[in-house]
Amino acid sequence: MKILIVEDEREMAKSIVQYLRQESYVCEIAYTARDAEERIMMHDYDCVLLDITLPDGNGLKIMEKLRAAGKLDGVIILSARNSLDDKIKGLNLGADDYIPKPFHLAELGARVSSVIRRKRFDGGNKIIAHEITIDLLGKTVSVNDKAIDLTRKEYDLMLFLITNKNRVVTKNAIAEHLSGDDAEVFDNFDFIYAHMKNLKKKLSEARCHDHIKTIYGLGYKFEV
Amino acid sequence: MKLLNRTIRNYLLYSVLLFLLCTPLFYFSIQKLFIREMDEVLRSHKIDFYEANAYLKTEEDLKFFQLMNREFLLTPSNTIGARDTLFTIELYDSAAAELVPYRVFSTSVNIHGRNYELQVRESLVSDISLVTAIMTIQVIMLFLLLLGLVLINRRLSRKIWDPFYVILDRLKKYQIDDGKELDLPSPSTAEFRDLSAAITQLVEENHSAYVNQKEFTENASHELQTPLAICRTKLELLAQTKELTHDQAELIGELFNGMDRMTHLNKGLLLLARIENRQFLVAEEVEINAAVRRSLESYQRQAQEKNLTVTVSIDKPVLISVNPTLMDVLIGNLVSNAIRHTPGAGIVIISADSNSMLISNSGSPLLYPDRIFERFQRESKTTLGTGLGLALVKKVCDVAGYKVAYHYSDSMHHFRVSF
Repeated sequence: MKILIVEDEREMAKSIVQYLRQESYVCEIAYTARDAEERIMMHDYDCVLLDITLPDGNGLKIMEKLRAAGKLDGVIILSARNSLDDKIKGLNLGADDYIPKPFHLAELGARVSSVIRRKRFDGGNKIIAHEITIDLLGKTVSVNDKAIDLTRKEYDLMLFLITNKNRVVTKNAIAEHLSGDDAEVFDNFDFIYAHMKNLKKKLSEARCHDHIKTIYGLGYKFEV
Repeated sequence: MKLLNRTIRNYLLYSVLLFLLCTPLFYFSIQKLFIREMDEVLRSHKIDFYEANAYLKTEEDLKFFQLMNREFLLTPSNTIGARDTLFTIELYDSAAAELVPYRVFSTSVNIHGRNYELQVRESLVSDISLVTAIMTIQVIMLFLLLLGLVLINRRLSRKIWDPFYVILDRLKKYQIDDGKELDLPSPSTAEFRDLSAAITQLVEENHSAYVNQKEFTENASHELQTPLAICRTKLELLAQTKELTHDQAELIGELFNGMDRMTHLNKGLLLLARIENRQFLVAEEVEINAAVRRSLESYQRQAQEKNLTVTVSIDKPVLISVNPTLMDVLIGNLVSNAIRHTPGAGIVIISADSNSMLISNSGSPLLYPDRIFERFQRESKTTLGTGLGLALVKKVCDVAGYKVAYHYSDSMHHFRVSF
């Protein structure tokens, strides 16, 4: 699967590539708007990560050209400007998602995989890892084909870990993911421990092996 | 008292005083001058008499002289060599039918061996009317002079001070943060021109210092964003390293926490600077009720975990014309502040109408309630807040023209925003 990263900050682009490569995506980088436009017109990408503020132009212009050319690449807008305006403009122009900077790589990983899945299978699909199956449409999780009853937060947590499988997901990233964009996380991470404890308990009750590894003081990792 | 009235009052006071003092002085000195002049004339009459005396050979001659010169009055007298005297008497004047003052010179003379008392008289009537006439003219002149002085001074002062009042008025209306320039006139009076120039320079220097400082905050937090984001992602990549030891993982976790706080702080500072720089201006109709519910939803988990009772009592939809981002920042920070600081099982009450919004929460009184809206003013260091929440609230209110007030009563903290 091919991903184009349009980002002028080299270190940032490098980090994204390094993180996404672990999911066996093929990543290309464009540091300028011109470079990005050329690549977009020549190739088809499964997902384009588009920074809005580029040294030689606005990312939204690239978005417009992409859609004008009838290309259906999935697009996620990355914007340092935490402005509602950019978000609305971007989504109106046909972007699939919007992530305000700064973001956690785990959050980006989850959004990229979500966009790619939607493009590939028109949204109706399942994620299978070991004996666990996640039905994205019904938002249910089953172990060995037996559905288990999860709360909304537990489901979100499960999906977040699986879409970032084999990578350590920090508790900070989980806290932000579960709280939503608008909320400021101002308490400790006890609530994550509580949700995680419940999730693990429900999985083990359904005779699921323990695939979620706790990395003490740092976060969790779903191992495949 | 106005400067104008003060000058005029002093002038007036001095003029009246001078007038009151000088008028009698003037009157008496003129009168004295006249009498002295009169006395000279009378004395010279005595010499005239002596000269005439040489021709008065007989008693007949004397009688004839007396008839010709009525002002000479000779009465036989026994006193010899009486001293010359001058005095004023009032005599009945049959023509004017009133008492008339006369100046009299009296001396003794010897004519043909006989002693006489010689009196020379001169009426003072013409002198007195002259003095009166002079005084009248003097008074009228002085009065006119005074009146003219006051009027001219008033007009002139008003004209002269006019630029001063213009400068004062503009200075009163000037606000350093509303982006309008202070446009002072350049009057023709040198002093005011200097004043105007000095004020303009002072204000310009202040303004550029203010803008510099404002821009610095925004630039600094803007420039910090990228290195912060890079650090965070590198740290996240470091966390992926195979075979991390227990200690290393914990260290990375702690670094991450610090990094997160820094990121939040930076976001807060950037937002504060942007609000200050009035980057959120476009107003829309915002429904308070919806904004409050949205904000409460974001903090629902925390509220539930702390077992808080949250009550929203907004009877009918309240529509306010404001920038939606500003309103979100305002409500979001007030709600998060209330939920964060309410102790377990406490109460949060939110109410609003078209004039104001009130957010109250239970809790113990603050140590420094006066400093509650200041940046980084935290009562305890234990909460993970950035210390910018209420400063943001205050800033939004300043920009939107709202008033925010805090008070503590009935074991509750109350924040009232008046639209």
